[in-house]
Amino acid sequence: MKRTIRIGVAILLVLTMVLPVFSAGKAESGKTTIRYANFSAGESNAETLRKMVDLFEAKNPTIKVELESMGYGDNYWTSLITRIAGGDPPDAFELNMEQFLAFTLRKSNRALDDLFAKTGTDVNLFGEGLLDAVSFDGKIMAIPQSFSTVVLVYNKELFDRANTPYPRADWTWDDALQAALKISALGKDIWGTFNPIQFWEFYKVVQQNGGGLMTPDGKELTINTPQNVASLEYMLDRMWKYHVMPTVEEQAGRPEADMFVDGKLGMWLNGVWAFTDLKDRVKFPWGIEMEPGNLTKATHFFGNVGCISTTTKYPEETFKFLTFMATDPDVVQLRLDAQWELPTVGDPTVMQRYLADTPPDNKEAVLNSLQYAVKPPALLQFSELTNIVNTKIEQARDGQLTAKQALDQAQAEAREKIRL
Amino acid sequence: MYIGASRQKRVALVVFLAPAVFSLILFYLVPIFSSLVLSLLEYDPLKPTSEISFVGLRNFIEYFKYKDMRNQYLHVLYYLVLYIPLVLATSMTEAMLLNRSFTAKAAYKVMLYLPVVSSWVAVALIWRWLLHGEYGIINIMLRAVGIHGPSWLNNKQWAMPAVVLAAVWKDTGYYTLIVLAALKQIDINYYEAARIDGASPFKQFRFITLPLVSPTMFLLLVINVIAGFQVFESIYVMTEGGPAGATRVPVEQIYRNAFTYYKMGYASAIAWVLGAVIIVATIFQFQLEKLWVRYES
Repeated sequence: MKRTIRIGVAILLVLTMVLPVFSAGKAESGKTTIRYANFSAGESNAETLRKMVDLFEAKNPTIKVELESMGYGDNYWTSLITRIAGGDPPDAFELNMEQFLAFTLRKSNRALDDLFAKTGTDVNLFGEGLLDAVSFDGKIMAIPQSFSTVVLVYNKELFDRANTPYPRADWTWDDALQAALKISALGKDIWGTFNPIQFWEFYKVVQQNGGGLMTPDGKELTINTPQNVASLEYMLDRMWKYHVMPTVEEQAGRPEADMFVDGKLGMWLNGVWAFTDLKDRVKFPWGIEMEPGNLTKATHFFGNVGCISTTTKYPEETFKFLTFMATDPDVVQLRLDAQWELPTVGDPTVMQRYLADTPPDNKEAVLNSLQYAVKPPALLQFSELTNIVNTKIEQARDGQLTAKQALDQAQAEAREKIRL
Repeated sequence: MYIGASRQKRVALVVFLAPAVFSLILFYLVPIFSSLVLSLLEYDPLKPTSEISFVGLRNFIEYFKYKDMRNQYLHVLYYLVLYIPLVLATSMTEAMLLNRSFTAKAAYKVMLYLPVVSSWVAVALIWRWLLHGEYGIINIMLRAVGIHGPSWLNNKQWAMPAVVLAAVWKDTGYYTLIVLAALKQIDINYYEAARIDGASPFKQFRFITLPLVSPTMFLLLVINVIAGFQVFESIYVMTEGGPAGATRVPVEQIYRNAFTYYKMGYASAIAWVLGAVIIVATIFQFQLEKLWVRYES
């Protein structure tokens, strides 16, 4: 008898431990639970995200959303990849553009065209070109949630002191360099400009100079073409030849944002996400303008998108949630209030509200930059290419290699490792 | 060891060992052997499982052809050469200090052990601040004596020593306790006899303390070399392998290939090569053991 009781208790204990595994999904009284893994809210917008989800749950009482929020640096990708590989992906997950391509090429997310049709969702809800940016092989693969562009942020006070006109939309590399030289002459530890020397910057700058990392058909790598070498030389010259930008040693670990806030940088490239911080901290007048180009303009475009897992049991509910998070007017207003990047809706009045919110003035520069947005190449081994090129560029930045040596080595290594 | 004849004792043994053995099998042995299988596959975790393919030894061949592999092992060796003598010396010194009695010894012990229980992320934060090129306290102190300190973590030559400095600070407390335990084992009569014979404190250290703690020092050397080859966390949070790859190490490469490049098979191959290197290094140390380690008989 005792033995039976003991075995009974043991089985019960095991069951209580194991049973919750099967409880995901539909739980209390027919309510569907979907899980949303996300990173872009971080700490600063966690509350806004919570409010958005509350709004969704209030309007959709049969769906419960479980937020799985992590910061960008908190191993978000590691955990997401592990979960997908382990066969337990969240129903919806947020990706940045770079990872979106990597995941889509690997078929980790579901095409959404049938869900657009089934739910009668109007594609025109989204801003022009944004659904194209998330389409692949003619299928919509994600819901764009937010986007941002990069602009030239400048310190008006330093420009005034250096007696130099403010940047204009038609500025070229040379105009920017002339202004930077004058500003740098103002004193020790005052720098004309700050443009990071790394892969992402390089990848865009070569396009301003008519170059690219691959041939248009994507069959051949072209990392070390003469235009690209000239582009990298131009980036390095700002530091080593003209001394209008601090070297790594001179920067000494100071974040660029702090240097700008401390009035030590004349011009600085940064995304619209920096505006909130700058508004709070900058004590001098500052402005923004489109980034200067050379032969042509090229600007960065960053976006975060919501994807649906290929294995979700609730595609429709998940789709409804992601669409709501991108397009619901109240959600959009919350995003605007928080200055949490830009909403992806096509409604022009929304953009007008965004433009009216100053400082900085001239917010049109943010939208105008979109016209010149360049996308990273869709390449299965994109992260690896980034790393190969970045390591060599950093060695050039630190004076160990010339621009040509760096790019020749990068081309050789990439050719060996990257399968096109 | 006498385990006991009765059935009850055997049952108790199984019950008490089961959780440890079970977790050892589940969380160590199974993954280790799965990684051996993985190292022979081309496996992208994001792709459907149907796309996994068998590639034989290709991952290993590719790794041996990889130009930066040598550099990464050199970085690890550089780390070991700096870290091990330093951490052994500081642990020994601290242990000898703690072997005496002085005021506020308990408080001192707590302070010494505090870094051990702190997370690497917090330690990295503190050390990045201490080592800051412009406002870091280390450079401020150097400047006071007329030395212009480097921007430690951004400087190719100084980044690794800087990581080592932080690692030594963090780990000393732990190893001190182990050395202290060894010091406490030494029979006090040896010292008394030496003193009567007129041996100086240095000679006492050289001919009594050092030989008698040598088995412990050997143990520390072995575990530190094993851990040193696997150094990752400290480097990842302090320099991310930079500047320009100057602190890149094999484990960082495993992580990068597995979770950034999605090459699980290749990453597993790197892990197995590293495992083999560690085994060889450990066997080598055991070969040298008899030259300097003295066991009391």
